[in-house]
Amino acid sequence: MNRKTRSLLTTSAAYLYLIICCAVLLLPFIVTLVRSVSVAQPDGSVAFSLASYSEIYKQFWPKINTSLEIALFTIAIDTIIGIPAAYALTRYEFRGKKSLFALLNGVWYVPGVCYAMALVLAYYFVYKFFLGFWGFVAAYSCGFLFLMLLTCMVAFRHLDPRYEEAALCLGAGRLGTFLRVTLPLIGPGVTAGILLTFVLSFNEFITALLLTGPTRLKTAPLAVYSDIRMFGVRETVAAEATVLQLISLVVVVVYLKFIGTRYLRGVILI
Amino acid sequence: MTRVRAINITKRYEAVAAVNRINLEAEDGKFVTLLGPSGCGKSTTLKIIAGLIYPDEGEIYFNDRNVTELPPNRRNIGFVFQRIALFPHMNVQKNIAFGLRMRHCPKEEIERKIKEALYIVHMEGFEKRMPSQLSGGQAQRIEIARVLATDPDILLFDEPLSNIDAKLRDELKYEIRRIQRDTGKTMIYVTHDQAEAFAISDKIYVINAGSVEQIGTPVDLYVNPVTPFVASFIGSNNFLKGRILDLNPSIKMARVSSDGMEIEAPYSNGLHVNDQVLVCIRPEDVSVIGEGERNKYSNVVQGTVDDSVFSGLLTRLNVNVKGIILKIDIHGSDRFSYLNVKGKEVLLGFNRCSLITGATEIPA
Repeated sequence: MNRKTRSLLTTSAAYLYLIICCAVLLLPFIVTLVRSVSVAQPDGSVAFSLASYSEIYKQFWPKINTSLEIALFTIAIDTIIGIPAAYALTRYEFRGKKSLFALLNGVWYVPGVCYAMALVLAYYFVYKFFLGFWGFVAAYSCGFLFLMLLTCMVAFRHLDPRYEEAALCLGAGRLGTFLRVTLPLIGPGVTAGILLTFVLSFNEFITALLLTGPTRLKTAPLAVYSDIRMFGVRETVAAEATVLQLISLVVVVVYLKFIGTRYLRGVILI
Repeated sequence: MTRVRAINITKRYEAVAAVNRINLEAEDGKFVTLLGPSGCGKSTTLKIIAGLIYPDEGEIYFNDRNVTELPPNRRNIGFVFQRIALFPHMNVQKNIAFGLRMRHCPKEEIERKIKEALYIVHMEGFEKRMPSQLSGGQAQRIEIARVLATDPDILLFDEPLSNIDAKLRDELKYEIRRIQRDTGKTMIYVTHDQAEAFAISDKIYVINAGSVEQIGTPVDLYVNPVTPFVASFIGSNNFLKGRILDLNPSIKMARVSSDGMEIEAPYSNGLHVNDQVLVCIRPEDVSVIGEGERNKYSNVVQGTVDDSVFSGLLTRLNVNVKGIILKIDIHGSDRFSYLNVKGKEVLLGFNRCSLITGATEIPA
């Protein structure tokens, strides 16, 4: 076997491997998509139809809206808390810094069910907190703060302090320096945190299942879940699942297209 | 019109003093350089003067105003960084306007000052460029323009040329000196490059291990180094251990016995017979001489050439004089006559050499 054939073989093998990987990862999505557009006809045959999408529009859209609103508030709160916290954790040395970081990190390793139960106990029975919309926002803000923290910390670490020093020497105060120099320069890092917070809080299910409680507030993933239980895997349910997946997919693709993976570095670890 | 004084400033990192009781004075309109090897505390000193680092001890005065407690933004300084610190998200114009906007300059004045600043650094027409579209030298010029535009009382440079290639570095150092002469501003400049410091400074502070070793003009430091560190850091030197045989106060000449040689050297006050000294002889001050030239030199020794290395500008000879290797640099057209002289007996003559007291160890 000469080198040319050998290299052809390795390349083919590599492509085959990639195709298998993609298939494994994408297959569930494709199956759902196909299921959502295949409608059984009275004569037993299966036809292509988008009817299920128009059918779900009315009752599923408000759920998506709820999920979007929760995600947006979560992002807003985490950004406001996360940026200064990440700045402090990156730029200053203080006692107990590592322990604090480990503690914040720890939330991530608590199983979702336990976390949700703890929140139900705390919110409902201790604080007598209304477990509706704001209960979700509070739960997700706590649960996903770490993502924002981590991405912002990566951004701050990549930002050489000389830009801030230069701004100070040019006469800018600390706030002016932060708003005019620091924030624009870490912007992409913050967007990485926003992306991750969005995708995870928009799709979150386990915590939602327990938090939904007496208020019966339904997020989009919860709606899909209860519809499966009620109707089985019907084409309308598959359509709901497809819509849910597409929203995250579009957001991620748009992000990668415009900002890239640079600021997701270090977050991949999780 | 600003005189800068740093009094007894100290900065410790854990137990190590990065800056140890440094006293420094930059007279109004002077170009003062802090020269030293990397990690000697010169940049820390500069950042303390700027207010970017708060000293553990000591005070900073601008004229008679104590600015120690003031943050950098209230000191009216200009700071040029080692690595380009132009804001990458702003174009040249906005970068220069930044400091002016912080000072609430009216719009027309900002535009006029941007033009002026770009004119001073010869960078007119670059207003709309982004920092990423500038070469290292251009970016450093814009950075200088950015600090000049705010009309700072003093300008601080932290190794501004160390990331710029050699040719441009040479050009820019004279440029900085020219700007200093044109604007008459007090400047403090940090560098580890001796040639750079010599070319541009009125006064140099040689700093080592957090302390000032010697203060002087370039010529002072070159001709009369007072510590072994300065003697070996500035240029190159031959060191010989010696003992004072006698002193002639009327012409300020000392006779020193060193490794079987007798050397005549000029001295300043405070020396006594039998004092231990280090004799410093610069390789460029020694000439290879003929028998007939003996009377032109106060010191003449004989040796054998161990090695000769041609490096373009000069030929370096290592000459063995009674077991001691003396480095000798031959400049001028003579340098071609000493390419293959290994093993040759030569006569060496020199008039200039200096004595360092209070130290007997030859610096590494």
